[in-house]
Amino acid sequence: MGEQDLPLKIQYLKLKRINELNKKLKEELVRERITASNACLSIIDYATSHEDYALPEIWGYPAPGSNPHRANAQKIHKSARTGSSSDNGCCVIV
Amino acid sequence: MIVKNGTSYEHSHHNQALPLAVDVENSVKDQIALARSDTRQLQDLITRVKAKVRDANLAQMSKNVPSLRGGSVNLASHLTLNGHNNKISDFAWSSDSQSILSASQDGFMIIWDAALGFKKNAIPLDSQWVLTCAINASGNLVASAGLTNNCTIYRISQENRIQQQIVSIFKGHTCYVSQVEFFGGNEVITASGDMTCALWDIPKAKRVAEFSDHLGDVLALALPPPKTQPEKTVFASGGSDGYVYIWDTRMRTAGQSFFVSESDVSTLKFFNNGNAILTGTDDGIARMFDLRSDCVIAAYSLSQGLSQRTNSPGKQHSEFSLEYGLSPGKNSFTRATRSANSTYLDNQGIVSLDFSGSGRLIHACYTDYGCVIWDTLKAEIVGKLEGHSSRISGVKTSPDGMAVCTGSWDATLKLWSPEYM
Repeated sequence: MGEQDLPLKIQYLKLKRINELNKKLKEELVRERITASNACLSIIDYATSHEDYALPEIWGYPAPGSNPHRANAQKIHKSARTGSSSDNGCCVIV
Repeated sequence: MIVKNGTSYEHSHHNQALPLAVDVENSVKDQIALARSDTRQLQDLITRVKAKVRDANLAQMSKNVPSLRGGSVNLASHLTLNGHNNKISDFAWSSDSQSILSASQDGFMIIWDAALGFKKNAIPLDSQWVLTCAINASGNLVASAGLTNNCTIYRISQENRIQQQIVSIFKGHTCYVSQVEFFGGNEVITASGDMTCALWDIPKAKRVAEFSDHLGDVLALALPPPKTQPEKTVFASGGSDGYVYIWDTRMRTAGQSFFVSESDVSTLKFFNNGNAILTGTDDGIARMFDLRSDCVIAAYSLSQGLSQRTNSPGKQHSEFSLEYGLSPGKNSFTRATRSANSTYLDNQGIVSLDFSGSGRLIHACYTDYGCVIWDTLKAEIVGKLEGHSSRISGVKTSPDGMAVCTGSWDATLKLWSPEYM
């Protein structure tokens, strides 16, 4: 009996898998989609309305001292170059 | 089957056993055929619906946006992080943009002060074969993973600066871990060469979910920008099967998928609005997919971008179109042989990608060509980050958008940011 049922079981499994796939495809079909043109417009809007100082022709240059990444690095380099004792809180080896 | 009359049923059953089985089998076969034709119809419908939605691409829609003039990207290297003595495998920005965690094949992770360049912590690793690292939002936990198939979580101490305080070792992947990311406060996600992604709970110290739709090594992960997704349920994965899957951790199967290309998807990044995803593949083309319109909206090909650049009048003699190659000395190709050798450009896979603070620029690292800056909207090359003396293994923009970090096989990391007037 078991041997006879085996192909049948496989067939049932096959059917189940196809039905699962169809269920997924139905979900994909009803997915809400906006047009690609509108998706592009929203990306253009984001990229052109957020400040980006890497683009001086659009956003100009950052105000001196306004970039936390660069401000400190320059301070160190300056004090290292001049060799003067720093009054900005950096360690000084005496 | 419920049978009231036992004896009579048994009798009839024995007689009809064979024809009945054949009937059932035939009906199942019919159902399968029916379901298969449903599948075909559904697939046709989906193709039609998708084609209808795909009415334009980003370059077409950006026609009225003025081009960025070549060489005008204001990014200069202001700091080099020296301290590792082998290739930088991976690195990550802290959420406050003040620290950088780097992992190197010298067997150490280092936490750097991103502004000053000082080392804040060093974490010795058990294995030098680290491929990926991550730091959590509060900066007190870091993770590393790689060829050992394990993902290790460490606590960062403010007192003891050089130590290895392990919180958890997550074992379970049966192949290398290609990427790890912190997910919310208590979880990490890993992608692995065993074709799965896994979600691990740090306090529970165990795997809580597995995601296994990929049919190849999972090579990259991406999380939407934190601002766009406060509740942390979505992530994306890319694999050597050429697919990108978008997952919701509340579900076990992928919610959305994109076929990218026949080659490996080696890196992934969400656009700053969280609604689009940029893929980098071994075929050297970056592609942008929009999740809302469910289709590809832009493509960036290195060889096309460069030929565009040299052909456009006025840009031909601009400052950096002459600066081919990585850095003087290290690379023996001359410009002439390189432009003649178009296969060189065709063999440039994408290693790493990120957007600038506004999303207008894409920083894209290629295998040997270095880090190219693209205009996201116009799909034009507008610059290059030059300075490393060996392959660039990664590029990442700081969360505040004011700096870019590159890591290299030359054992250093470089920080780039806009110069003052």
